[in-house]
Amino acid sequence: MSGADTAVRSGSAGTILLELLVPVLSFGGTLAGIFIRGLGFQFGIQYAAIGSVLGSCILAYLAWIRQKKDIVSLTTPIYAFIFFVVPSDFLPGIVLQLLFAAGLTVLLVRLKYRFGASDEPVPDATVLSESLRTYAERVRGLSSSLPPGSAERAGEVFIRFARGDYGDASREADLAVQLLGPAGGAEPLVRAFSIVSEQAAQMEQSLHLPERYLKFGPEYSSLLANPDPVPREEEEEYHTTLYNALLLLYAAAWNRAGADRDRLLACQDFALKLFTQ
Amino acid sequence: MKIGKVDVKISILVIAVFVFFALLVVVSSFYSPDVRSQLYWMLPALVLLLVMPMALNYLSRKEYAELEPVYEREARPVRIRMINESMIGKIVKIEGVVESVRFQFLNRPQFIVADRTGEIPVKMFTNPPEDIRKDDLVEVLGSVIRRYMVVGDPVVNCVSIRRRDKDARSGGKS
Repeated sequence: MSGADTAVRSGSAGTILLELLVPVLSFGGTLAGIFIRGLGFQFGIQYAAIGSVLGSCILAYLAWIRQKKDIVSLTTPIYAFIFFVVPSDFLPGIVLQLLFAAGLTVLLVRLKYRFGASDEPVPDATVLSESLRTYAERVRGLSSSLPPGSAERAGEVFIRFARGDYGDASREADLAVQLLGPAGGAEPLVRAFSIVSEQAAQMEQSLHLPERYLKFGPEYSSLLANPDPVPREEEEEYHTTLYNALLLLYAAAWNRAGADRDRLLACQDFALKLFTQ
Repeated sequence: MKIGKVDVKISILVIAVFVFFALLVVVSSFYSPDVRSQLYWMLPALVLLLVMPMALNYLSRKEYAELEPVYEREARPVRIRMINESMIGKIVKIEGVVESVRFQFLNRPQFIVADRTGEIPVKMFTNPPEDIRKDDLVEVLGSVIRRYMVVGDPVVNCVSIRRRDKDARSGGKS
């Protein structure tokens, strides 16, 4: 995913407040319970665990809003209910609550450092992401000059390739090349179809790097999602050529497609992986 | 320990639990006649603490051994970067280097395997026949599933993970 799709990793003020509330409520509830009992008010110490229960719910929410989900943090409210629904004696109850509060705090730290910033946008599967939208806009002029049906074919090739049906993708791309033929203005797309056809057929047989393969010429560099200003390793260049071809097909399909946009959105996660910069 | 053709292993955690409860039974039966009178069910229960995990391990290893030739036939070699949500359910073969190994002690190892195009978590629900370590070059057969079965990013549910010679890597691996 490009940097444009990742928000600043500082965390919003609201999220920071919620993160602080986890240890404050968890420990605070128990300490408040000890204090109130010390004043002479008698009540079941398990009620002091309300802070831990609220803290676990906040932790679960913080885990939910992250792009990468932490199942341990998500399930802490269940454990809070199991631990604290039963009445307990004073000392064991306090120890259990303090240990639970410490556990929530450790999980919060783990969540922050292993599961990404809370303000990374959770991809919305119903909306095209910014990097793909920007790229599609950049190559919109290409789509306006395409013969009818070629954009739909581009989408079909991309979807089949994303599903791992490399043989089908290769055959479909071959057919598209034949149908497009010498159509004026479609040369970049013809080249993209040819590259996908060649590499998909190669992948159907083996993953070995061929000695020769089709590439985009320098005249197409303005249309490529991953332009190539510096020399790459041969293998990296081979892969990047495929990614550029696939992204060009995706963008062409998106710019012309109507009903097929749902299917293209379903493959959006794969398209985003093809950006190398 | 081999049962038939299946190499059965139990995790260190199971052994630790067995040792803990065995010591508990021994010490408490030494001090308490009440406990001694219950040994007729405690001792078999102790044995079951070892036997049941062994039996489960045998069953899962046997099942994976039977699945391996099926996956070998049907698996499609793919580059790791190509694996995505649209491939959920597909049987794949990937080759790469093990970047990290976790939870081997639970007989539920999780590997991060990387090739030149990317990396992906590989989860296994039993221990592999070979001892796979970090930096090993491996070949993985498995199916693409969601990380938490119904939600989450795509990961590989591994049926077989084998070490490959490092010499094989120079044979044109992409």
